[in-house]
Amino acid sequence: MPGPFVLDYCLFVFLAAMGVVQMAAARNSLTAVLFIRHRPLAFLSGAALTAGVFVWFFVSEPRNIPDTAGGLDGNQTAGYFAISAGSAVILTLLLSSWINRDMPRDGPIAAGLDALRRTTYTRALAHALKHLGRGRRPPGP
Amino acid sequence: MNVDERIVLWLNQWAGRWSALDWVGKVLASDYFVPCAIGLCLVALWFTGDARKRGSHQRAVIRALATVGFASWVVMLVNDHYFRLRPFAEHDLTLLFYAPTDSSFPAHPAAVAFGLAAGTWGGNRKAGAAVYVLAALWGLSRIFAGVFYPSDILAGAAIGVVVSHAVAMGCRLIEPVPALVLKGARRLHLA
Repeated sequence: MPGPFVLDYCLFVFLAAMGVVQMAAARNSLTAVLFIRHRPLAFLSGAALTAGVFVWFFVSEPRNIPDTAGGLDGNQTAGYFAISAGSAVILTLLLSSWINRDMPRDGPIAAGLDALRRTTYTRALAHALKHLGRGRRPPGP
Repeated sequence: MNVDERIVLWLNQWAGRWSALDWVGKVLASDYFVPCAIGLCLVALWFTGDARKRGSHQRAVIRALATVGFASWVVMLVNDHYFRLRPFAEHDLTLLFYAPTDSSFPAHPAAVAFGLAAGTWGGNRKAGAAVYVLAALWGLSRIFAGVFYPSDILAGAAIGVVVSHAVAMGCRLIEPVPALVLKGARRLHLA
């Protein structure tokens, strides 16, 4: 059972990564990844979320705790970071797909992350899996 | 007293004087602030740029992450053969950090942070420069906090940078592998 420090750390990384993904998506016109489709507003809300969780994590309690007293060792720090940041990316892709479900369904789906400029992640993924299953490259520009 | 010790004593004399400076030092020196900030830079880099630049950024992220593992291994090998006491164990210092018991030389955090910085620099100069600044701040704050000598940080940084270049060469040797990983991720719209 993870201790309270681990949960705080995971929540901190999870929310900060969500904010950073919003900022990166807004800056790179990955509109279908945004929770707010207005890009400058999405960037600012992502920056505010990231800054806010940094302040919360480091101001709320002293965080210089050795791994022998409830803190994390180097491997745990990296492992929990990967799990939390990965979860944040996956949840962002799913949540933004639901929020932006009214985006147009027509037109070709671009390769890689560029698809997320015009279509949601779940739709792009379904399109890719459909064509992977048939052993063909998905059509696109 | 050698230069290493004099620098630690000079920097650490400012610790414990102003609570605001102590707080900044503690946050920067912590195990979480700089590593998480660097990790988040890598997350942002993964999503940044047009299709061509993004590929180069993502390769840099993969190289940087591989560097962390290999640099940690090199530090572990050195620690198996050489042990150096921490500055706070040898001098009367104001300790702003918990008291680590492992070897001071070479600084593992510096090896990791500078390895990540060198890896990032290979894909994007601006992001790499930002990560170098974070790595330098982490090293400086650890000296200020009384847990490392400057030579520990310099040795750790050298290990990180050298290992990063070795990893870059290794990636070129196994070239179809990173390309295939990225191609698979691109198929799933994750890269």
